[in-house]
Amino acid sequence: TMRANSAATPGAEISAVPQNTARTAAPAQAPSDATYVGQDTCLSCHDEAMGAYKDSPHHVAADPRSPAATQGCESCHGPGSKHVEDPTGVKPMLFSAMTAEQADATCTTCHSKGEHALWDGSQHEARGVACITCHSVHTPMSEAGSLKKKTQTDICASCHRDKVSKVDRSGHMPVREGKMECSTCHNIHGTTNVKLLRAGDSVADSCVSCHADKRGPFLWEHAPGRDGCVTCHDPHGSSNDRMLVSKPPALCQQCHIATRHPSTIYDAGLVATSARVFARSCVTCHSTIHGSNHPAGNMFVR
Amino acid sequence: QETTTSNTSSGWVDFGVRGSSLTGDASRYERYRDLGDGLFLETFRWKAQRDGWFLNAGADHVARRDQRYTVGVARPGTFKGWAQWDQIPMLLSRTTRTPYSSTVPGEFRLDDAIQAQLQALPASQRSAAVQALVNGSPLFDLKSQRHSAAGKFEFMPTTNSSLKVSVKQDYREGAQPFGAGFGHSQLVEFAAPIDHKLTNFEASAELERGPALFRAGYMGSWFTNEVTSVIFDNPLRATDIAGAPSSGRLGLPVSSTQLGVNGMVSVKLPQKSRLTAYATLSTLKDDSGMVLPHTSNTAVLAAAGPLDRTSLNGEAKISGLNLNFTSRPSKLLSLNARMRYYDYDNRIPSFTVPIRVSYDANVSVRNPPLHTAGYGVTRLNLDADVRFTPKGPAALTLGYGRYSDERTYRIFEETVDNVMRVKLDTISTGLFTVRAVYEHAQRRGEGFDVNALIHANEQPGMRHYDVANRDRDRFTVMASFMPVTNWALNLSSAIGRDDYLNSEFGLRDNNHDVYTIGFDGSPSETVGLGLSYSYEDYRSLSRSRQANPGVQFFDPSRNWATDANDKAHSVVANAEFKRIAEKVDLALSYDYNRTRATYEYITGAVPDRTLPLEAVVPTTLPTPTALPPVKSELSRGTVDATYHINNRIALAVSYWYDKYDVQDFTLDSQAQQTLTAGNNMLLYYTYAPYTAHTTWGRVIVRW
Repeated sequence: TMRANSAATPGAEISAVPQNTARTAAPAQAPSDATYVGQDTCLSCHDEAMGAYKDSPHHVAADPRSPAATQGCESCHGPGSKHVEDPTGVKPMLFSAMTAEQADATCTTCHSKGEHALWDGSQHEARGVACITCHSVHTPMSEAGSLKKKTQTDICASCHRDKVSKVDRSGHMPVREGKMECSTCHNIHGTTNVKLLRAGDSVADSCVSCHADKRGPFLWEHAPGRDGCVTCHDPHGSSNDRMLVSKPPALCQQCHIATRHPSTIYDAGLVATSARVFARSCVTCHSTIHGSNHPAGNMFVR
Repeated sequence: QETTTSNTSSGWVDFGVRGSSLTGDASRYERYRDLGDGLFLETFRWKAQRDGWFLNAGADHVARRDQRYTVGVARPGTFKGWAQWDQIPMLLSRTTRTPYSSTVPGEFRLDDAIQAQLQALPASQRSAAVQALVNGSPLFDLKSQRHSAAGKFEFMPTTNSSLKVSVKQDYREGAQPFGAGFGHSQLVEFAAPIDHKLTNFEASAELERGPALFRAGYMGSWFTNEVTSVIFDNPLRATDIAGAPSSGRLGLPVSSTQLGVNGMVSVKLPQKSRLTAYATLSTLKDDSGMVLPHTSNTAVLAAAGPLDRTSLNGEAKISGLNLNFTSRPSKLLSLNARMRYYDYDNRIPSFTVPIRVSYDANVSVRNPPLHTAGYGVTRLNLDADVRFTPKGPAALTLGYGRYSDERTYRIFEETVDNVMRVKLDTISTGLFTVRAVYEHAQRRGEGFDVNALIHANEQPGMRHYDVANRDRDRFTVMASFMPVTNWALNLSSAIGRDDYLNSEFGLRDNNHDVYTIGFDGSPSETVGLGLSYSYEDYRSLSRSRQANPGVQFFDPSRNWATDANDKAHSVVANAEFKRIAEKVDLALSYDYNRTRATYEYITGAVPDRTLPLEAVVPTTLPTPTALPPVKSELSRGTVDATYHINNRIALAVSYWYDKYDVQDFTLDSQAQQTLTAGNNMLLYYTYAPYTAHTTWGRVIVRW
């Protein structure tokens, strides 16, 4: 359909791609008594479909797992003999006419291992997000991954705009500089960790897979850090130093109001004069805040 | 097939010359990148087929600090290999200065004569002398750099099996701002060394046999820190005496190793069902990590006595188990159920500290002694979701989750979060897509330990918000409409309310409202347009009591609150015009992000947000002076015009406009004046605005 085609044009919104017009369009299943006619027959009418497909892994016949090594176009679109006999009356399996489940079933016929092994039951699959919501075999826009937009960030922003917006905050990971992508931390196809995190089995595990200096072991440990780095940091970005979720001392005073200086109101008068709040505030003194192996490190000042 | 027998080669390269005009903070403009003037080779890509082998190579930002090189080789169906070298700079400041010198990594020294001179000054003259010392010190770049070498290899002996190995080594070197004190009113900052090496290795074997998928894996992670302590001179003291050290010392992370194994079995079952089980077990240990001496002050070290032990002996056993069951027995019904178990068993032996050493200055006896307590957690998460697709394009999902966390050494022994959720997904009409989720959660703690608060001099009414009793309501909705072919209108909203209903002190509520509106369109095959606007509003209230020990501690008239509000506006716009003129493409983009955070102090009662359990009395605290708002504004615009001479060669001009503005009452240039207060010797690491214009003249060649 025209709308389906629009998803491949720059700026088009992937979330608007129809995935199931089964009740109004052609049936998703190819006729059961159809037989294979071969790729050349398909291309005699649909040569435009070769597009990027001819440069994709799907078209590598040397790979026995690829469509090209088996039935070519008909590996995914079903046997086409009936369509050849009646081009307008009988349609092959069109992904734009499939439900998410049908489209996924076709793709996971092959893509069922490795990165995709945990697709079933994953957050995206459970919400009816299909492979073809993000990927296009015939008209990809990205350099890698056959995505429908130029970058992963663009694709993910289609639904997760609030997360992607934070990448533009002053404190951010090097995503907009092209050094990281959403998939650096997340495997959106499904993982054993929470939040589709790629590494480890907890939020903290994921973070320390790169920031190993925070993993300990420590004599004195800041327990919320081990519980989850996101207690204090927003990994998608923030306007605060070190991607903190709030600005110190306000952040620290959400948990620490012990007698003496933790419970002090650091108003504008004190900010101008108190060493306990200017510059990087609490962490200027409590610099080993993630943990310490100094015998006097119980307050993380050594 | 032609593709398997022909030898082909293709690629492209983007190179040229670049220049920037910049006013303000160059370090922030180039925080994670190198945009230096002069010749550049921005992108190189090459791929080829040779006798059934597929080869590719890529390079980005060649010869720059953020350069990246990638090579790949594949024998389809048999072997894949990939290797990468990547560099990520992190330039924090170009205006930092310090009088410290460091010839030995981790040692920050001052000339003894300077220390003696400052020590001899009357107290009233020391502050000015310290600031003069800092201001007379040379500027230096405060920065670090990550060098990553990575490789992945996959061997496929059969179509249903594969062996994978991946290895990545990160070497990070440089410095980061670190602070320490010689007391509450005398701080120093230094550029703490970063000299880390992290090697992560993973190997796995995967086999698909019939309806079952098997996977077994091994992981190893080796972290090496070459500098595990920092010693820093006291500018005001030349020699050690009891009560005033000539230097201080603090600990940095020790080297550690984590080794583990994991396995997974996933089985297809009848009724479009699948059962997946995954288990993992690993051990984290320090690599002969040492406990630092009690103090660096030689005058009090003997009084401090021996350490409980000198070696860290840190160890943690980490285990996990996942069971996941999915079933699609009919078109009307689907089921997802998951059990996730995670255990972080911290086995570091307790360490006893019978004395207190404050800021490497004084030694006093602790009574009772202090004991370290290794933090551990055991999590058991259960989720079940049932999805109905009764008629038409809508699917309704009802779900329940129970998340149980048992922790050691927190104020609650256990917390249980019960979550109910409803999801609505309509994705099928072609005209519109709607996705909505409503979630209500109740977290409650068991085994409250008030002594944990009392020992820390905290109010008994304090509840740490990551474990506190909490009611949570969250609603998100996203809708896309395509009223006209090739045009889409997108709306989304996320609303969240967190109520910490028993937290007399600490975070009491935390709310957010996020709204986005945008459209995308393609009026023709050659034009693409997009525009979106987002508004975000985050609000939180936390409660405190300004008190010294004694009567004040119990005085509710000294209660106060921080009402924090963070608002953000974001605009993302882009337009692409292919062949806007003969042989000319034009692309425009503009991003704008503005945040404004306020921290309002409220003394006394907080209207509409006072808990029943809170004693409300008139305040006796002086009226606080309002803090100025914290503002951050980033705008970026780009223009790319490309003239295609022919199919192989194009000339392009790009222009980037990048502007950052900031107001931050503790870190901006105005706040910098306050950094000179007292006897503090800081780095002058600040937030500063910049405006940058960068122009690129580029040549793009394809073959």
